[in-house]
Order: sequence, then C-alpha cells, then structure tokens
Amino acid sequence: MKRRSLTGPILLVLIGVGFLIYNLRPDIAMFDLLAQYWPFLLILWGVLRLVEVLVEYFRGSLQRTSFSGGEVVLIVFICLFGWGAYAAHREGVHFHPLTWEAFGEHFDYTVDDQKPAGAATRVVFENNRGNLRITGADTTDIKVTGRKSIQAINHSEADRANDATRLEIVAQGDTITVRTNQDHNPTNGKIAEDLEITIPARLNVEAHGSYGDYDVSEMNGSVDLHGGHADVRLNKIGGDARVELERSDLVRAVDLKGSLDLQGKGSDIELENIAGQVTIDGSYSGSLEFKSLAKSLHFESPNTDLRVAAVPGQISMDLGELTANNLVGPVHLVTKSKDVKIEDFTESLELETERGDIELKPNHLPLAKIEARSRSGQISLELPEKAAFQLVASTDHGEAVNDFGPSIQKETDGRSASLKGSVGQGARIHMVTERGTVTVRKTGAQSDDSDKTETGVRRPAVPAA
Amino acid sequence: MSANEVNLLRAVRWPLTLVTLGGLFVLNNFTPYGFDRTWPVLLIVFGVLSLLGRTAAAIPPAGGTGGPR
Repeated sequence: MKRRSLTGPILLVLIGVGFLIYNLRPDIAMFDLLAQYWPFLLILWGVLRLVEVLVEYFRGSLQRTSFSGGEVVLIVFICLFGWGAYAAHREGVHFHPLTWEAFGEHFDYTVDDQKPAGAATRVVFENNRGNLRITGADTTDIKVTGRKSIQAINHSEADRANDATRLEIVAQGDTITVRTNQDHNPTNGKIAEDLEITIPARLNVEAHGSYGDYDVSEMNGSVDLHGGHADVRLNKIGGDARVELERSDLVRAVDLKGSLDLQGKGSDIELENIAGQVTIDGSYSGSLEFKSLAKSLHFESPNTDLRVAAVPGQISMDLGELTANNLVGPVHLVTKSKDVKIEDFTESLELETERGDIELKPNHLPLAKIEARSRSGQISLELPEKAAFQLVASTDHGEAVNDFGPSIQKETDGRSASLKGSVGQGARIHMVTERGTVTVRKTGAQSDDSDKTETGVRRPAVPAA
Repeated sequence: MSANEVNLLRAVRWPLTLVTLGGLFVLNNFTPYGFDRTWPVLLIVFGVLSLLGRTAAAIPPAGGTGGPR
C-alpha cells in the first residue's frame, strides 16, 4: 500500500494558521513577515519529505517517491509569489487589511475653540485620525476650527460619541496640549477630525496621530511630527523639522531655515530650499526631488546610500535612476541598481552601483577627483577639452573608448580593456566596470574610435539642459 | 551499494533540491547574494545527486527492485 505524504496536510494547517493570525491580529504584519520568511516554508517542506524518506528507508518500505505534478506547480507558484512579495516588501509596498467602513452613517459636527497661548513655548497636538493644518500667525491665541466626522448607527449615538470626545486645549507649564480625545469614544464608530489651527508663529509644534495628513506653514519654531499613515507638507519653517511616519504618499518641505530629519517608508519626497542639514532614513519607492539644499544631504535606504555636502542644483531619483546636477562634494553614492547621471560636482565623487550605467559630466575646472565602479553597466565620462587629469579606467568584459588622443594609452587583453594616462597635471580619475564599455570623451565631440560598434558607444552626446 | 541505497538516493534527490531552493531564497532575502546570482547552485546540487544515483545504479542491483528505470 502506498502511504500518502504527510507534507500536504501539514502545509495546509500552516496556511490556515497564517490566515487566522492575519484575520484576528491585524496589528501583526503578516504580509511583511511572509514576504521575508517564506523561503523557510520550502525548507520545511523539503525537510519533512527527507524525514519521511528516511523513516520509510529504515522501516525497509521505501517507495520511489518523487514530487507529483501538482506539488511541482505549487512550488513554482510559491517561488514566484514569494519573490514578488519580497521585491514589493523591499521597495516599501505594504498591504493593510481592509477596514470595515460600511457600518453606520457619518454625522458631522463643527469644532471651534480658542485659548490664549500665554507664555507657553510649545504646543502639542493629539489627533488620532484626521488632517491637521497648522498655520503660524502674528497672534497671541491658539484658535482651532474644523469638522468632526463621527460614524454611528443613529443620531443619538453620534451625539453621545461627540459629547465624550470634546476637543480640549490644556495649558500646563510651558506646554499647551490640544487634544481631540478620540480615544474616549464610548461607541464603536470611527471619529476623524479635520482641523484648521492658527497659532502664534513663535511656538514649537509637536503632533501625534495615526491616520491623517499634516500641513504646517509659516512657523518660526521647530516642528516635530509623528504619524502612522500621513502625507506631510511643510512650508516656511524657521526651526528644525523632524518627521517620523510609518507610511506616506508624499512628504514635501519647502523653505526651511533649519534642518530636516525624515524617517519612514512611502512614495514621493519633494524638498526645496532648505538651509539646514537634511537626513532621510527609510525606503521610498516613488519619485524623489531635492532642490537647493544649502547644507549636507544624507539619504539612506535599503538600496541606496547618498551623501552630498550641499545641493545648489538638484537631484532626482526613483527606483531605477538617479540624475543630479550641480552638487558640492565630497559626493558619496552607493546603490544597488540604478542608472546614474551626474553633471557638475566639486571636491570628489565616489560612486558605486551594482547594476546600472554611469554617466558623468564634470564641467567645472579644475576637475574633481572621481572614483566610479559598476559591476554591470557602462561608464562614460565627458570632460571639458581643457581638462587636466590622470586616468585609470578598466573593464573586464567590454570596450574602452578614448577621445583624448595619444596621451591616454589603450590596452586590450582578451575581453578586458583599459585606459591609462595623464593629460596635464590634474585630479585622479578611476573608473572600473566588470561588464560594459568605458568611455572618456570631450564635451561636444563624437568618438573618433571608428572600429567600435558596441551599442551605447555611439550614443550621441546629450546637450546640457 | 545495495539496491535500497540507490532507491534512497533517488528518493532524497527532490527533497534536497527543495531545501537548497529554500536556502537560496533565504540568502536572497537576508544577505546580498541574490537568487539571480546563486541559482546555478540548484543545477549543481541536483546534478551531483543524479550523478551519485547513476554511478550507484551502474553496479548491477542485487534484487529486482532497484534497476534503472
């Protein structure tokens, strides 16, 4: 008699337990855990089969068991799904369990409160759900107006919820707290408050919430925002800003006189005209734009580490590409898979990418020191005609193309090629790729190396935008 | 090598490959060694296991159960 394998039922039980946890405890991020740990499922399956085989072997009843067609299909699906889930997880995509919104009706109430700020130096907002728009003004009062939306089965239920969750403005020491008291709600309905707040511009602002956007503008003090799922817009802030979010679709900061410290996950970031240091730590899958940063920028994500001393020009970045122009060095960039294009930078450039083409165009003389590495991708360097430099460039599999004539020596050996030499006395330039073409050309000039037909080499020079 | 052991080698071939597959994806998720670079290990493991099975099967089996397919 052929015994059926135990593996199927055991896996079925595990899948059931997984879904049960997902349903009962939505706070446990099952998707994130699964996205990372799913390969252990395959290992467990393999080990179970091994144990079965060994047990049968020692009982002397070994059957020639192989995987059935169904099992192979399942393994292939697990691998495809798991790989996709992991890729999504790494890029900062998260799945939230659907929230039950169909319950009851929405009832709206107006919120209106005002209190003098007195000698307070700090104002703290506690609004769990809902949007906050905070504006600094030449005033002495803290003024709150807005709309409160309560989900309830009927009007009296909504009234009861509204009475229990009145907005409070409480002064204590040098701190004023604006509390929406949503956690005091005796009913099960959801409450969200969208508030417009005007406060004295001199105050330091702090806000906490778990769902809702922040919009802060015209403040002279510092801004400290903590949120779950939130978009943030900062405009004309005098002090330092700190933003800590679980997830955001957009973080935009314009005209900051202090520093900006951003932590979280999400999609887009737009920064413009920031006088202080900028630190970003998190993973962002959308488009990132940095413009006119007067001090250093440090961007760190699972795939990219970028440090720049200042950004008078701009940097645009998405998952596959980084384009920058006019940077103050030293510039340091390590990234996994991005095409990198940098135009104009000072001091020095240190660049490493695992997969992606590198295109460098330093226009300022004297040239900055350059160290560029790619594991797989072409590296092209475009230099002004009068540039002075010492060059070492090599590729393990690919071509080397040189525009600077006899002062640069070209050597080919099997599939590898290199360029070495000096033009005048100048900065050291070191470019290495394992796979791809290395090119050094003069600004505006076409390659005169006529025997090269490798794709990409003949790409026409892009005029500076 | 006895026919039983030949059968054992055949029987453990797929489970071991599966464990290797899982292991490579663990490396993919937790270390810089991506599956796109480590996948040839799968071929090697499966190849070596098949090879062991073949060489063992080349010795004529004692009973009737372990002959080549």
